[in-house]
Amino acid sequence: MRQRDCPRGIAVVDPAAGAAPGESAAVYLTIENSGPDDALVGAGCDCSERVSLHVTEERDDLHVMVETDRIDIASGETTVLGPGGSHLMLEGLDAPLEAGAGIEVTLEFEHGGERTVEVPVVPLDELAERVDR
Amino acid sequence: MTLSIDPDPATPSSEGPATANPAEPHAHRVRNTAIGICVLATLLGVLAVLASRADTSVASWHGQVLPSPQRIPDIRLTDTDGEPFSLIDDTPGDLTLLMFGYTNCPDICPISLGTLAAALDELGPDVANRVDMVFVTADPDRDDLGPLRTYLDGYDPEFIGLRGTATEIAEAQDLAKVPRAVIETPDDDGGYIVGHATQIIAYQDDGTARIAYPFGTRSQDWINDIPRLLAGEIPDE
Repeated sequence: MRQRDCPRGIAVVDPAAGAAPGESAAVYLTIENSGPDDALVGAGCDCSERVSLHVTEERDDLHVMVETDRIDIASGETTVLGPGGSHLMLEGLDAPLEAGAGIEVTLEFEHGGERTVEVPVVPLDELAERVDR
Repeated sequence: MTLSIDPDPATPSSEGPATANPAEPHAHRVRNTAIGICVLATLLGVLAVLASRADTSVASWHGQVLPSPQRIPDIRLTDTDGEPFSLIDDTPGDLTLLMFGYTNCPDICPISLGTLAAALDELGPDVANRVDMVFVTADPDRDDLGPLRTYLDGYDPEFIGLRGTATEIAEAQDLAKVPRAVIETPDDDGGYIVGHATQIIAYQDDGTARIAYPFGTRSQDWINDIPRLLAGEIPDE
């Protein structure tokens, strides 16, 4: 599921949202940047009140998710937003996401403008398969 | 694999000594046979070891075996019906799974709970009914009992939800030997993130945990391990 017509050499690969039953859900995707340095600085979805960017930091023995205002997308790098790591968080969903459905998420890049991505909603146990171990 | 125990009597090398000394061929053959049997026995031994290793890998566990077994902790909190709940006394199943989390958890908890629920669904009610999954909120300020129940119902109505005061929950984490959750500074909207231990600890019917399942445990891992834990198999390395 590669979407090639992204601005400035950015390709968004394997997007997925988890079919969480609550009012929030995570969106995962991989960004391949064959253009100049850029950064993901925001995201939006008609399906939720708000979309925030989260990254993981180490605190004591714990991985802690913290909100951030940018995720750097270095030139020539592949940046993975995956389960247990960086991700987008949909907050205040109008309705819980159902597996098999799809949502449109707009990604805002610092230099590359906006890009709307079709994100399939997948069962949560499918996302477990994406966790590195 | 072919194994020649006896050298071919027609080969020149075995014929040569035969002409020099008639007594030797027999001794030679006996010695070679003895060596051959030793080689065969060694090979069989190696094969047996390899086979046993193959068995071990097929039957290996899909969680992290704990460095030392842990007794089920005497955690006493409040369940989603508002009733006192004892982790020791009120888990009648043959396997108690314990996890700390919170309902606003965007990433880890949904995947962990959803994956376990999918596995229990696949295993069917005869197995699932013998498992008590206990989810303790690490965020009692926001997770009231009603919303906690609604949240867990989204995964599996049989999942048990527990809440207590912040102090009680900190003590529960100490008893379960997991790091205490960290509550981050609230953002402008008052929302905040809770960092918490993500493993699911598995206490068997004898009240002892020997294995825990980290974030990223697959549905198939649970499907493989739960019946074995229920059968009283002892996880080891």
